[in-house]
Amino acid sequence: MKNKINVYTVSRFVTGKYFIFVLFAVVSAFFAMLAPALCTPDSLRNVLVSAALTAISGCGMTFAITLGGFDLSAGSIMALSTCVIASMIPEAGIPLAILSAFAVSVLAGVINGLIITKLRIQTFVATLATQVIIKGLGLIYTGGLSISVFGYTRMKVFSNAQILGIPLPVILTAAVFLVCQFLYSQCKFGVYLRASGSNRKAAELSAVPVEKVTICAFVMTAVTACMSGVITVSQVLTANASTGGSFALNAITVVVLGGTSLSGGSGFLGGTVIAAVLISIIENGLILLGYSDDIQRLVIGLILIASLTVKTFMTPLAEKEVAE
Amino acid sequence: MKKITNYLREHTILLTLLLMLLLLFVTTGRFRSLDNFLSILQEASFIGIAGIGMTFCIITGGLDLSSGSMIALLAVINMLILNATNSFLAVLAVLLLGAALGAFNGVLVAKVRIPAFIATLAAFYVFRALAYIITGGNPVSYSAPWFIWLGNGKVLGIPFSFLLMLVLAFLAHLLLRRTRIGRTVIAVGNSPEASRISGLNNDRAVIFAFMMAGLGVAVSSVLVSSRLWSANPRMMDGYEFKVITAVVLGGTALEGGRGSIFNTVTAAVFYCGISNAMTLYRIDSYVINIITGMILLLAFSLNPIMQIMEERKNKAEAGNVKAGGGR
Repeated sequence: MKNKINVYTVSRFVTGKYFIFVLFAVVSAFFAMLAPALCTPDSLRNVLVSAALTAISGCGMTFAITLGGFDLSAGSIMALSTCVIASMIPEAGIPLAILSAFAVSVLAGVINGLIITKLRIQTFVATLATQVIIKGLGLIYTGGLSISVFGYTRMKVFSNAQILGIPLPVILTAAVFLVCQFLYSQCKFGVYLRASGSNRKAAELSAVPVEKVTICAFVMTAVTACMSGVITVSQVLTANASTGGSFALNAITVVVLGGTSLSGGSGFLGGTVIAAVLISIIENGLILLGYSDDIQRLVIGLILIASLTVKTFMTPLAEKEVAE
Repeated sequence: MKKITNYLREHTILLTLLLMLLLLFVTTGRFRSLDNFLSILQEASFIGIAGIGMTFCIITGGLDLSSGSMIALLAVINMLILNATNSFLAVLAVLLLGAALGAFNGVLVAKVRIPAFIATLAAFYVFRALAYIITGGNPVSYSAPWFIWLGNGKVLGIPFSFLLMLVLAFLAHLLLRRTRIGRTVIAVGNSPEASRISGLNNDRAVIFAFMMAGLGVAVSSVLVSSRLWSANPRMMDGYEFKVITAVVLGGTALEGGRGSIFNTVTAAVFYCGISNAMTLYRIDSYVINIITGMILLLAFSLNPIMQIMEERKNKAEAGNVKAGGGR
């Protein structure tokens, strides 16, 4: 502890809100050197497109985690909305199908929120139960079969279209991020959200509508999950209610990696999006280097551990005590 | 009288499940057969044994999401060692390895101070990936009679795995209630700050609790792979949620500080009993999903609802008598 001030400033920068940027720079430099093929415009476009799904659902999940909760049912909601879209396209057309999927997911989000606020069940167990229920509903709705809409190539717009060379999923991600960021930092909702997340009792006493905020946050996770569903259908033109198994956990992973605290009260949407791109770089980079998806999962797990370890050990002692 | 109401209150979830089981018992003929009961007990032990370890973990206020990945990894390793050595030492090695992996999770949570949810989420990715890497994605099988007996054998007509669960539950109960480390586990869950100030070693208790979770998974992994005669890296996906469900249904609070091993084991049996009965009822497997979810919601909401009712009652009784108890 010789250069205490120096260590302090450096570690504050590295472990603070901007840790994810440092991590991002290091990892992407690493892959840029090892796999130069990753740096071509096409491959970068791929990286961003495959980051879109987790980035969008991560933005919604950031709200739930800022509240100090989780939404484990996001995967089931995503799967259900893909089924709704795919089954309705032939008869109702694409716009109406997508609208209905959004309606269904808003409903799911409201139900999640009501269960959490009215029945006072912890978010973890509540969404664990609704995850099973929603999946069951999806399976009954589809009869457990995959629904294909290969004939409806116009649905491809959501994954293939480009505006000024930028793929639509990337633009959608940016739009979702901007809207969420606006809600988070510029609106009353964001203030209420942070207040409810950091100290629920105090927020209630200060007349913050905690229950409404909770319901809204879970609607946000459901709606963003549905948006990921739209892009998924558009990419593969099939839907199956039993997909989405690790979807919620992936979203939670990017949110945490991005620097949102699990204890609630402070979310970091920018970090979530960057972390989603980071994961995508790792996945695409490892594929280019010829590794299978087992190694990808291994690396993602290790990076999660490593980044939180670095954070813990670099956080100055004084701050640690305050945090405790 | 007060004792009875207290008992009822503490065991609401279990009593509700018992009621459901009785209902099923009366209404379905095939459910009543002895063979069916034995198979329920056997299924339950695969969840219950891991649940015993998980109870320790949840009492500290933690959670282990890596169980499903860990059970696949351990089962695969178990089969590989068995094939290589043909020796029962493989089982011992797997138990040790399970404890070690659990302790690794514990160190991440206690020493590195990563929230349990995230630490074990990372382990969830890592263990599953390792299972794939070790086997190259292929199933491994082993069928020596002594090994197959572990998961399929019966003692006096009762499945060995169920008896093992009872013995382990008893030991774990003693460990939790009667030893220093067990009491520390409960103290940490109640208030980490208070237990630290009282000079207890919090970190050791947390690492111990996660180690128990790993050990429970290791025992289950041996039983499950013996039951199936084989193991593959894809197996037991979503297992951790079943285990956590059994523990929570048993009344162990996710915020930590209280819980009971026997209730976990009982809840595991009831949980398996109810899903078994639904299958016998020829309920569509998709509908079973929904009913299971509803039962979970019902069970989880019982305690909070009673709490709300109690609060109302306390309010009605006016404020001069301070309401004690309750966390």
